[in-house]
Amino acid sequence: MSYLHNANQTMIVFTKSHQSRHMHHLSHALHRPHHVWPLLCSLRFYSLVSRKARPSARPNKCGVDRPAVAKIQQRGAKRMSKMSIMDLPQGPLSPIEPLESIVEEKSYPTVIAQARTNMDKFTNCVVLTRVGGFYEVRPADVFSIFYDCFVLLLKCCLIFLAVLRACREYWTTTEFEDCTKKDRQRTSINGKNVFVPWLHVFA
Amino acid sequence: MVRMFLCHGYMSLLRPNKNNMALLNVCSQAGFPHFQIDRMLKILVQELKQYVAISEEYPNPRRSDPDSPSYGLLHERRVARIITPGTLIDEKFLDPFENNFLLSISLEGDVQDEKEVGVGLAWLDLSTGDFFLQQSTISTLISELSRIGPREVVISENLRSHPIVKTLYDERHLVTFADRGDLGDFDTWSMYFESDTSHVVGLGMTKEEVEAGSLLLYYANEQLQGLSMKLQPPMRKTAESNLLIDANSMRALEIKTTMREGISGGKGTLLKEIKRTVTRGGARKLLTWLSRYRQHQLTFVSDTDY
Repeated sequence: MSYLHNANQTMIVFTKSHQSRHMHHLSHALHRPHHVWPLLCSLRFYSLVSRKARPSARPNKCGVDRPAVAKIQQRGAKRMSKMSIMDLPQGPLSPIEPLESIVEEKSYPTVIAQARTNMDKFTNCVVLTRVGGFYEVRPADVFSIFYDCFVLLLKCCLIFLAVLRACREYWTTTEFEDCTKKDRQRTSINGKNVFVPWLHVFA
Repeated sequence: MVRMFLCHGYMSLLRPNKNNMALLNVCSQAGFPHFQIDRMLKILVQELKQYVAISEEYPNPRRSDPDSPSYGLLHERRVARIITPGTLIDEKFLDPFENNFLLSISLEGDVQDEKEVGVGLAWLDLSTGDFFLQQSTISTLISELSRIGPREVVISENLRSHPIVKTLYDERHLVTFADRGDLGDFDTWSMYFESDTSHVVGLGMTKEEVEAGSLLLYYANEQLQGLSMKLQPPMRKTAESNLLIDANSMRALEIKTTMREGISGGKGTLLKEIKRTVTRGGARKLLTWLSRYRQHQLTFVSDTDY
């Protein structure tokens, strides 16, 4: 507590009072620790709120520094209500106004809103927006620019797979020369001889 | 280049799902450093034939106005230029040894089937300021285009379904459709020219040429977004004085471009063989000569009578 030497008097008093209260509980804790812990938690340590004002469904049983609550509580929810049937509204319901649409217009930061305005204005262009040291592009534009490249890449992959498959077929057919391709397309499932056309690929 | 776009900005764009899809489409951005702009424009405009609008930063005049949406922002952004393959001015990647022509076409009347429909051609080079006009017909249009070699062809919006468009696409021209502006008259052109153009008014331009010129100037002005355009006075070309080579012969003889790759001035072309030019202007002029021989220049090339 060395840093408190320069503090004013009230500060020290305040600290002391808290410390005394703290020590008060701790002295109890030496005797009945299992009673003090819930109390410490409920007080939240430095809370200055009166303990009696704290709502509690269960009467507190640690009764040394707190007297037992004498109030009798009435519990249980109301389960039944009665009313006359004539009080209910009768006949057709009066028309009500439709609810307002709760879909809110999205609001963007000004920079993005300006970029968006430009994109809407120049629909056939790729809009490059200068933001600091960078030119920004909409990713959708990037994809549309390189769409042909992606398609080409996809086609290349498909062709490559087809070639790979053909190679595999070639090697498997030459590897087992004794059995024909038809034989390797046959397997037995539940004791039945089944013809699976693509089976030889995985064989 | 794709990696360059993607490495900056939101990496989530690589894996779009239903939650971020709307956000991705609207405001997620990918970008590149500003000093790469020339390289990117070269790829986007010249190779991929995209139209690029560049939105630049300007100091925000309404920075201290609490009512404006850009309150407190240092900069505001607006589109400074639209760059298309035909409207390059002084980009570093622009080949100075060739003209970068933007051309517009205007047809005569509503006749669609006849071969002899008059066609007005107007083409300009924004980097050098050359501006030409010519009257032609539909049947010779493709040959004329191969002689001129435009990077971009501008056609009026109402000709979108015309059969000529398909022909242009077949010849691999980049076609842009543009609305014809309010520039209808030759008199209103004068604001675009460097010097007084009154002495060329009496040249007897046809109606189609004037229309094509108007469309061209309007389109170029739109793309430059307020940058001042200073052209040289229009020159009228006439087809009569030239030896006309059609597009197929031009390609087969490999006069300007190689036949297979289409490289301009490539190995084996006539241009490559006779090219001894020193300056950029000379190189451009030689290309023009090769495109349209004057009949008396067939035996020797001389620039005295051009």
